[in-house]
Amino acid sequence: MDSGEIRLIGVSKTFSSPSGDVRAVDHVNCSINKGEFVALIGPSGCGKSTVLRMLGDLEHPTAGAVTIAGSPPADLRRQRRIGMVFQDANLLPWRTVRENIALPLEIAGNSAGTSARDIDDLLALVGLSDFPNALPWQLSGGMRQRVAIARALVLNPDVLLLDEPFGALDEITRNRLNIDLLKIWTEVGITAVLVTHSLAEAVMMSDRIFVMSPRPARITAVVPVDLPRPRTAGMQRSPEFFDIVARTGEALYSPFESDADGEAA
Amino acid sequence: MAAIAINPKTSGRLRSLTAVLLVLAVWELAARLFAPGPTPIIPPPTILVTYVADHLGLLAVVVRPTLIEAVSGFCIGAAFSIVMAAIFVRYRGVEAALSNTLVLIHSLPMLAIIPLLVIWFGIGYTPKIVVAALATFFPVLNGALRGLRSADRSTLELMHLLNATGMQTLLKVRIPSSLPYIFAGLKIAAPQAVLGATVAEWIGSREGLGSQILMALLNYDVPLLWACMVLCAVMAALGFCIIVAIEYLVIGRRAEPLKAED
Repeated sequence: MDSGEIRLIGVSKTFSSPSGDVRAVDHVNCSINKGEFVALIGPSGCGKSTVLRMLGDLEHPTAGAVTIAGSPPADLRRQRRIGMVFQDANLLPWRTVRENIALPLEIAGNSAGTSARDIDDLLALVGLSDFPNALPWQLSGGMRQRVAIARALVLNPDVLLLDEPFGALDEITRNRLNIDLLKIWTEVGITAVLVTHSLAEAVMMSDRIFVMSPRPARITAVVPVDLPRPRTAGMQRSPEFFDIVARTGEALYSPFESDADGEAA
Repeated sequence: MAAIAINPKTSGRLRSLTAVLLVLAVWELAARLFAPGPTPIIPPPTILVTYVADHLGLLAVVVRPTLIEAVSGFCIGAAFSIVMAAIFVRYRGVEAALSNTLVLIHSLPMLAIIPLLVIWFGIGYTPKIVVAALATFFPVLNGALRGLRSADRSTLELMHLLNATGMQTLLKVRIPSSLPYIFAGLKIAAPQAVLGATVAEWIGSREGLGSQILMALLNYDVPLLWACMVLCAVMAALGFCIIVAIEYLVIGRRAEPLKAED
């Protein structure tokens, strides 16, 4: 496991504020393999997004080290090899779907080079071939996130960071998008890290699930998901699926339950 | 029952036109009933219109300098404030150093500034342009500052993730997202520039609408006074409309339509 593409070694993060320091992430160790799809799951506000943001060089650890392919995330970011999908699609409202997807290409300029993906292919990949000239306000929430995924992939990055990308969507839309995202991931063959607070989503998507404790975030369990790929919607109704959901849920909820037991006693 | 299949936009315009006509009719009637005479102190609209038509040559001469001052002051003030807002957003220290001074300048009474400007710059166009620019400066600065800071945090993070330069972020994110705010400032500023130039012409000036108003007042020429006032209002409103038109050309087609407010 020490040959991991992404490695976190003793990573901690403390936010300083006038009202005192808040420890968001506490001594996290993990290793993610190349081409693997992993999920970070934990209660809301537990600091799992902070872990993801450190991978994207949006936050810096106060202790420990984060490396991607042996270098700090900042190196990879400067080469524009990190793609990220945020909680909100954060599309530029005055740009059409095509122009939004092209934004990273415009910023990279000539350095985008040959690695850049064709926008028409990407539109087809995310199922938006019919809406290249639509403006964001004309799209549904799910379609906007599809645009955001295409935008994150246009420079053909090595790592895809997904920060609760479908958290604001209804369950039916979310399910469809997840299945489509899996297809895209299979096709692109990229290392993906998904932050979520949905058990079913984590099991459906990933090879391994890192279960995190409430603040400060600590990895309390690693659940391997040995469901075969490609995953299908039907798998979500299989006993194996429910078994892994139950095991992950147990790891996720046990800290709270022991608290509750303590109060009852 | 008469309004069969008129779309809401047309019916809205019809209503506003009806309201204007109604006000004019009441005005006409009241003026003729309560203040009759050949040179009434409240001239009815018909007399105003004929007066303006009869004196078109004179009024054109009067309006020209005011128009030049207002337009140049507006352009200078707007350009200056947008550049300054960009500097403020980029270098917070500059804003911290200057913002108090700017608020102080904004609080100075125009009537005190104008004589000083006349002493400094003489009685030409310059003091009026300065006043029009000052009147434009503050609303546009406010809008531009608010607008340049209006970009979503996550959009800025995306630009960081893409290793965008400060200039790219400014051009591709900050400026486009500031446009609605800047136009809001420009819409307030355009009439203010006209009014500022007109007021500045009251002191130390031999031409322009403002000085004509002063002369009309001294000569007790009530119809001329009214004509000047109406022209000033028309120019101010025209300035507003031009900005609205430019806003539509720049962002109108791309903007999300506003939700109905009723």
